[in-house]
Amino acid sequence: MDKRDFTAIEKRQKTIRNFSIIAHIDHGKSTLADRILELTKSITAREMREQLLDSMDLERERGITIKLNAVEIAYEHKDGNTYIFHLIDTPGHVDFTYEVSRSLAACEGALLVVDAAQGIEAQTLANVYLALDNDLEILPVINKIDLPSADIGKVKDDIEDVIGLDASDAILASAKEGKGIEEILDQVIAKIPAPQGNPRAPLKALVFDSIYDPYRGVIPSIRVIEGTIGKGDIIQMMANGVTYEVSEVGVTTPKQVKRDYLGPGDVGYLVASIKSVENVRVGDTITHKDNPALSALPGYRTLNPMVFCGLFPIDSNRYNELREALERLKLNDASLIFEAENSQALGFGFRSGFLGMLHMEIIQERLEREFNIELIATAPSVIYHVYMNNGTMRVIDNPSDMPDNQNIDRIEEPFVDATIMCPKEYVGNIMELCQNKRGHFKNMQYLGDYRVQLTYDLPLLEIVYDFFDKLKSSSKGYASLDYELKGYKQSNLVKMDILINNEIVDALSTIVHRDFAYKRGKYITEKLKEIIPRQMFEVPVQASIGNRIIARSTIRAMRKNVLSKCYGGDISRKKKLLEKQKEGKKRMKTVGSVEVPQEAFLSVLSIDE
Amino acid sequence: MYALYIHIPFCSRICSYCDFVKEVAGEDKKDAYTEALCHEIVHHKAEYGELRTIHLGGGTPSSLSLDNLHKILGTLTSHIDITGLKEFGVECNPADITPVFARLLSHHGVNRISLGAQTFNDKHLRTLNRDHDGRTIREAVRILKDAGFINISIDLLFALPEQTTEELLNDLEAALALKIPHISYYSLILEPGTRLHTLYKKGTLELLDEDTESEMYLQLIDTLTGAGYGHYEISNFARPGHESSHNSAVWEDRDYRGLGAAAHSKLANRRHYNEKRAKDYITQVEKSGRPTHYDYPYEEPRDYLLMGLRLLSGIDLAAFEKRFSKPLLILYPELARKVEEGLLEIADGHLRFTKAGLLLGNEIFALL
Repeated sequence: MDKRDFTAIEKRQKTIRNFSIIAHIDHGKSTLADRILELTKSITAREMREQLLDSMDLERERGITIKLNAVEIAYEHKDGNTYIFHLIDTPGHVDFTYEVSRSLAACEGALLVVDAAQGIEAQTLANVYLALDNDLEILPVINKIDLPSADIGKVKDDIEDVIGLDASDAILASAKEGKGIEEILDQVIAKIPAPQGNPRAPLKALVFDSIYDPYRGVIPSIRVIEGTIGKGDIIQMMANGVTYEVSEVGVTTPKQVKRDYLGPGDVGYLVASIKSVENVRVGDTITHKDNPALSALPGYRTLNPMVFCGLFPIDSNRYNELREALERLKLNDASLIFEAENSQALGFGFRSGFLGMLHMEIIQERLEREFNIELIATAPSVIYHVYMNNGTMRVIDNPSDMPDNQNIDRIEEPFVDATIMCPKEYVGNIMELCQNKRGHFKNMQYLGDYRVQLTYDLPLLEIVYDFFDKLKSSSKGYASLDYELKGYKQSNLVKMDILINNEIVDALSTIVHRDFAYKRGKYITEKLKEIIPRQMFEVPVQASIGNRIIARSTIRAMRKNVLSKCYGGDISRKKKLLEKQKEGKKRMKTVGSVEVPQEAFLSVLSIDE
Repeated sequence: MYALYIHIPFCSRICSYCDFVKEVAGEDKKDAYTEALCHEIVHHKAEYGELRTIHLGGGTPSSLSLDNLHKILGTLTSHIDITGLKEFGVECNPADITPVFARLLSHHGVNRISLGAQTFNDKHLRTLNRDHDGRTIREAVRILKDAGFINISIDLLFALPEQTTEELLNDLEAALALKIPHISYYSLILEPGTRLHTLYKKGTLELLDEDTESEMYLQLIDTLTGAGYGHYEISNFARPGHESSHNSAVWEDRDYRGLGAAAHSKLANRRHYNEKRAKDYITQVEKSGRPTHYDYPYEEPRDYLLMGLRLLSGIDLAAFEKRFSKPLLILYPELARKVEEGLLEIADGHLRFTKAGLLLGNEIFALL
């Protein structure tokens, strides 16, 4: 501790700029981040990969950022000083508001990147408000000015009218062509304040992310607010009092580079042989054991999961592996929750909660790809408030737990405040869509001459199904959506069961609005008939509400499956065909005596209804 | 050794459903192949003592010139004592059967001809890209009978694209009218790489549904067994005593030696196949006297069961236990469950398919 040169720390502190980038998906945020890394020579050509900050395969494939990433950049400015930038990347999807709020809390400023051809989207707006809540300096950047359809004047009006920011200094950029990048860096230096914070004060460092390294344990990403932290320090987690000895601190450039210590404004990592994920919560404050800070930093607002589904390993022996994998993912994703679930149809698995559909899909894909666990996911559900005849209320997130209809007084479901922005020519389509999805119209507002903002009360259940896809297809992809949970309202909901071979398959039960029950029941039974291969016997597929069968289809018995061809002495051909058949069976789950393929469990998610 | 198989990988044209190793080749290549094949036949002459069957298949053996056929059959008969043979068979294209051809085969001791008839329906024959019509088949059988052949078999296909039940019944009637002792009746299977498969993928060819196909299969079983043919293998029917010895060698897990390009052999507990391409086969034999052998596994008792269960007589439980030192149903308890489900039955000390099981053979085979 006494070796730390506070004068040098304070000098360095003045040169630090911490900022993140707020942008809608596709508006060019990751490309912009790459250009900044390039211009500041943070990475060599060899290290340069497209969209470097998006390091997960999944992110690169989908072209989106899921997990935030932080890098340190040294930039020699023409004023003769070297500045230190910490660029903290943020996700742009509605499901990941939580991650955005985490990165914003570690910054003093943000670049607001708006596509010159598309203007501001609903989700961007939400994130700008988050940034304003965090008192960040916001620098508007109009990106993709190289596009023929770019309309800079319109986008500037957008920024001023819709957000209320001064757009006169907005930077015109094309990340793709490397235009405007230097001006961005100039403005970052000039307008974003250097971090405050006294290096001599007791340590306060915010944990905003963490990764797991099999050799070095949990490695938290931290932003030092006050004080210093270095090798040999004994630190304490303020939430639970657990202490560790720091064995290494450093920064990410994006490689990990060791430092003797980190001071106020620094963004880096620390290694302290932390074995338990549980003890280092994202949002917690780290301080010194011997000279603790009086109070912890505000931390984060934790978002509650809104969408639930069951995750079951196809191979039931891999239940424990699945639990470990979920624990690993939860390490830096506090919004993911799970608890053991036992399904009659699918065996042991986990009821898991997510922020939204994309979050759910991404977790499923990561489990399958990074942990190689083949999964069956049941249809997503929201949380219902079920009021019983005896006056009690039950919270149900799994349709198969829904009590008997005759004991229920009423069911309430979550509604969201949905904000949809779209070019005016699609308003009709979108209003029709919202109507079909049981939406209550609230408001319509013109944003300038071309764009319209619609607000609706919508049942979250409908959004969880296929609302987003439908929204995109009815607006040629131009409409954007943001929503916030509003509260619960009574709805005429019923539990619909699916019976395969006269047995209820709990994993296929769903909650539906009574008016849509027949249609959905018909659709699902027909769909299952297509998906489930013929069995050795005839299999009825039925949809029921209580004891009443509302739809039925019949999977006819398998009639003929025999190799009648003569392959002469070449027995290997025969075997290959049989192997194929066996492979197919492995991916099925036996429910009762019927072999049901994985995708059947998602058929209740009726996309093409 | 029990059986000898000779592969002739040439055809005069390519059928739209066939994925066996074959090609349309010029006479020079066929001459060179004949040369190499005779070489390989001689190479293995020490093995032929106990031989019970010889079978020439393909491809189309009858697409060879009479000279080449004469050479091959002559080489065989000069190294094998054919008086001990139970069966000496050749696969033929109906259009290739002429009196001269028939006399040549008969002269060398060939006693069984199987004709690639496929169907008697001219429209379907065109779909299959065959070079004969229904009349050619009848004519070929007449010529063979005139030449003294009794043991004649035809290969037929059902579940052809757009085939109706009536057309199937017509084929059955035409087949019975030939008064021959053996009929193989296969369902059309689309194999990748064939013309029909390509058409199907493009969506211009529609296949029969599973229900129609199974009805057709049951229909042809009823008709043929009703006419006195024994249903002795999933796809094979014979008058008593005329079951194919060559095919039975494979089903009964006996040893066989395959000669020629792409021919498969099973010798003791080892399997291999010869170099597949005729061109390379010729070069290799010219260079080192025999083609390259590629080994692949013989799995015991799986192979024994996969083949043996195809026979309607089934697996002799006592023989199985004796050979593998464990009762079959102890080794494969899943099979006992299939007995309960009615797909298999145990009768006369044999485990065999029931009629229901016959239609769903792969459900059983997949358990092995």
